[in-house]
Amino acid sequence: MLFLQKNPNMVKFKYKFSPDYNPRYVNGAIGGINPQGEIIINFYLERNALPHSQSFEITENSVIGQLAATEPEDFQSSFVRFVENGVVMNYKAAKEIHRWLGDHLQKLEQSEIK
Amino acid sequence: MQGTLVNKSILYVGLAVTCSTPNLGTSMDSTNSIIGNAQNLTFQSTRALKVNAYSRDKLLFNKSKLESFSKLKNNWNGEGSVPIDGSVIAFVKEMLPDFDLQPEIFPTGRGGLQIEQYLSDDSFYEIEITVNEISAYIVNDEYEFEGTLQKEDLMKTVRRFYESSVVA
Repeated sequence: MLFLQKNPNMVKFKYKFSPDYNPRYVNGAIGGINPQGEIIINFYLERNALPHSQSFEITENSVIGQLAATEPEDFQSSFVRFVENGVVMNYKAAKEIHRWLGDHLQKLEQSEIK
Repeated sequence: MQGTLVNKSILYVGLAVTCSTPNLGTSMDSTNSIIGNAQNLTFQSTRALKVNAYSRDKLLFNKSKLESFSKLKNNWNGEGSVPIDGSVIAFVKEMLPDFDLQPEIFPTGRGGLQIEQYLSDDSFYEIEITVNEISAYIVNDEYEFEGTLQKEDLMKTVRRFYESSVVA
């Protein structure tokens, strides 16, 4: 407010960061429109599932042999979508972010930036 | 000493693996290329929007107007006026969500649509869209334009208008 009074033709936006601020890598999102008419996006990192444990046979020579059991058995047909954070925004903010994202995608698609 | 050699070996193996991994390799190439074009890359925030920007209510209202315009018959505005061409309505309908501020829309007697917005006496646009051409008259503090536009240039022109205009 003081700044505005001193410089009536300027406005300053300050960026404050949370102490644990650290951008996360994501490769997908799940969400949609919530009952309030806002857009909710939950970002996830999709990866293959890992087993909790694996058991191997011990051979006569006392070395590790064939895989005997895996827990859970169906882990190879499972995938993990780890959701660490998400955002909720109203229509107007979503429109502007959509525009902002489109502009940056367009720049990436320009031939001089490969 | 031997330990150092072992560590170097591990390091070299690690680098070899990294470079031979297609995704990581692509990522590294991409990074180098982007750094080379750093002058083209700037962090930009989203814009501080005008109060009435992206009004969903006004967008829906304009869409309903377009729907009603599609029902106009021959001679709807005196003898000789023709129905609004479906392709013109479809074009405007597709374009409307991208307008910062929803314009006024009117049907024209020759089967087209006029979209216009007056922010002030010195800042406005009038654009008539017909099957054959798009004619525009755009005025604001920075420039004045009168002429025809290509379809692909229309949104760029409208965006430029909004970005360089001050709402009164």
